[in-house]
Amino acid sequence: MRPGQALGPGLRAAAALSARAAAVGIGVVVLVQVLLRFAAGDAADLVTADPALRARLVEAWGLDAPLPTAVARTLALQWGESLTLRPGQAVLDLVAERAPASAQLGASGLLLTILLGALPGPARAVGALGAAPLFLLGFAAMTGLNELAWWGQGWWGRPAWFALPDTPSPLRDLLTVLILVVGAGNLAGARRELHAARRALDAAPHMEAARVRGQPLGPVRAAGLLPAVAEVASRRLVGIVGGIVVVERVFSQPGLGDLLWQAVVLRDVPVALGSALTLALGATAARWALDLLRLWAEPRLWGPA
Amino acid sequence: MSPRALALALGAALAAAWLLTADQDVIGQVEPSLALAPPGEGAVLGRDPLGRPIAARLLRAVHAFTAPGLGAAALSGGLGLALGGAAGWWGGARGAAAGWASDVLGAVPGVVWALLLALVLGPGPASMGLALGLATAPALADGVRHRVGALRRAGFVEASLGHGISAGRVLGVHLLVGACGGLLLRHLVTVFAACVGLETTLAYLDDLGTQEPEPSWGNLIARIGPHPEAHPVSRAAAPIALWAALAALDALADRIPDRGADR
Repeated sequence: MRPGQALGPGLRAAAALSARAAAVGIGVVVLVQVLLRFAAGDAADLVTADPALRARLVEAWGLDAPLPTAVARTLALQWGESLTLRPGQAVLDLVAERAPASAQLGASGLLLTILLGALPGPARAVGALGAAPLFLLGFAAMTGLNELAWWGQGWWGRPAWFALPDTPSPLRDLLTVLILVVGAGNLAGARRELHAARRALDAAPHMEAARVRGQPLGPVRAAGLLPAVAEVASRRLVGIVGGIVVVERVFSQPGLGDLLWQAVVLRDVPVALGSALTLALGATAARWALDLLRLWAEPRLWGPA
Repeated sequence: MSPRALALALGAALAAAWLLTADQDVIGQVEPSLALAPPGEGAVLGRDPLGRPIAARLLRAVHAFTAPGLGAAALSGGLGLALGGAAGWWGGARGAAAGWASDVLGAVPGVVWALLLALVLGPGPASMGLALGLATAPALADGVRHRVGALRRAGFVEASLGHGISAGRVLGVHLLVGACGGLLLRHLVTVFAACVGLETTLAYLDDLGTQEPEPSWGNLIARIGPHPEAHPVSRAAAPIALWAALAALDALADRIPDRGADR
């Protein structure tokens, strides 16, 4: 019996998908290590000219270790300590502290993108707004709201909750998610793809058959659209994760994107690598979960039994 | 407007802005006594907090994204065609390897690529162009792989190979240029637009983008936008220029015909 023959076709397809996701995750780690190792000069030179500190960094980042060892260390979550951002604190702790906020933002952004994308209605206005980069929408929202408050209350009398972007408030959280969804073409792209999927589904023979039989179309349509929804969500995910980095920075939200940005500005290489890897691997894991959902909902993807 | 006319208009505007401001002295323009002056003689859009004319800086800002944008588009186009063409043409282990490389590149968002490369290579147009080229290539590779894979066994491909035309020529001319040409052009415009967005984002947000005194639409927005005392025209100029440029590039990408999609 050949390996995998004992599994059903669905499980085999899921195993292949999982193996592919794992290979992509390992590839991302290898790529980042190669980047660090073969950077012009040496990554440690970018941080310090002090030979003693340089030697310590080379050892800590595994620049003198063979590539497989460095990759294995990264995969074993041995990410070292922060150098400049919070000196001495474990990178893993810093990442764990910030990751939930980013995961929540990403999940709500993706969910809202799909929900608003599936709504009927013209996509033209969303498309025109979506051409603007995320920071521009953030700037427009902050400036507009602040000045609206100034105009209403007088220069010094504006309410504290309007003091975007530094003060945490439900308004700031709402704006962050909305701008993440609308900006950089996320919503416009999702709308286009979901509407095309719906048109294709409505023209499918089994929908026609359901119509002729007088069957309620809602459940048939929902079952038919689920694979398309999973596919669109999977495709939009990387864009949403990139958007998280920008909106967290624009609205001073303490998440992984903000951590990555600060680490790059302060040249804290371990924290930057840790947060970048967490974002990329988190996106890969979420895409894997969405692809599994699509596989479950679409048996035609299981391949020949 | 036809895509050709729109492309010509955009290209001419970009070239004119580039050439008109090539020799601009971005340091000598400082006149603190004219800080935030409203639109008037010598400064049709008013002046920034250092008294520099906003209109001239707005035009000069095209230098910040044009070279990295063209570089990113070239890298992304070349890499996307190579990876997608290899994966679609060969299939099997070589195709899977090309597909894996594409998936790995695409797993890292463009802005994360830009930050990582700014960390490792130092911030600047080269790291930004490289980041965007690498991050966007998988999107093209995916489309090319599907088309080339679908046409690999088509009659005209088999006939061409049977007539002794080399596989490289069939892949390059008939499939990549013939079937994927429209897709490639759309992709190049999209990557250029993404570079405009990324460059202005980096310049707006922090020290990783275009640095003063060199202008960028991003740092113009960051410097003038928060000044309520500035003239509304001065404050709106850079955001409108940025939004209009991106909307025009978006419209151009939408209008480029993609005949290969019908095959």
